[in-house]
Amino acid sequence: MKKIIGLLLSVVMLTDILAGCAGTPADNSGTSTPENSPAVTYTSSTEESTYPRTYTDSRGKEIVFETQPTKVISTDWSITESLFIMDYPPVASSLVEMMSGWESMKSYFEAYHVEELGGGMSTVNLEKMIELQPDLILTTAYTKEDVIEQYEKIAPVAVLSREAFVEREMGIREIGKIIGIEQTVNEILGKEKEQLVQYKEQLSEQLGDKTVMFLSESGKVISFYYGNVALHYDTEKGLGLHAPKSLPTEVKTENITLEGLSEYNPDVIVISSSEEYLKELEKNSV
Amino acid sequence: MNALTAVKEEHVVSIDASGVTGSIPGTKYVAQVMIDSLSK
Repeated sequence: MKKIIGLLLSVVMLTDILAGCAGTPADNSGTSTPENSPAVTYTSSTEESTYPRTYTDSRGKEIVFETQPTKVISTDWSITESLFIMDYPPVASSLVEMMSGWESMKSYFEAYHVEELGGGMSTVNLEKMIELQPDLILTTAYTKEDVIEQYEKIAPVAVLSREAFVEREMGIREIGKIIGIEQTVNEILGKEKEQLVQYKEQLSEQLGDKTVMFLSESGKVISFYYGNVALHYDTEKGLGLHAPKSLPTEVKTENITLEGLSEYNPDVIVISSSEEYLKELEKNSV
Repeated sequence: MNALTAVKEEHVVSIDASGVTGSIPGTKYVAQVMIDSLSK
């Protein structure tokens, strides 16, 4: 038991160490894994950045851009992630404080200054948005219509579909159409996929047929994911991890008890949790 | 016995919330942490 607790704590410590190493690509040199950092430097192509252009968003609304949008505001963290991948950072985003603490995003937030818009999709700071004078606001179909109407008084709004939220590659390609870098997006996605293939091969060697399940703890409630982490299981585009056979395949998050977890019987558990909760589990017998 | 590791004692890997967002950076981050922790 002590060995397992030691493993847990060592993994937490590892995460802390990674936090200190995630700042720049150079910081990751010498490790056995590919770098997790901005991989492509954006260069505008005259051919692909032809304007004016008309984009039809998920509402069917046509938006005419006379010039390439350069001051983009993101009201959704998934859009902010996508803009970072393109090295086309937003001038402002919701949830900057939360995202800048994520290991996967730290290097981007260190590289780019992004104004904080506060809360979630429906509670962003409108005064700050007005102040920044954006030429494009990107949001998703999860945003309420009355909120979108408020955004449209500030700048043109492109609403990405819910499918684009789930299928991130689709979302990235849609944003690429809007900001006129379709070809660059192809190159970026190609490089990202190459890295994922490397990871998939390494993980395949380490795990073989072992099954993996992803959990998240919030307020001492444990949820599990499938569709949200579909890329982790995707054998063509993602890491090709093996899910427990009985795990639901639809896109959802569901609360689960520890007893319920044992029914899925995963070989490896990957959990997003506070260190305090992990320590509490140490004392919790089943 | 630890409630979580009672389910499976072989491997428990700790990540932050970005590992379950479904994004490409989040997926790469998960892969890095898993590879490093499973190597130990």
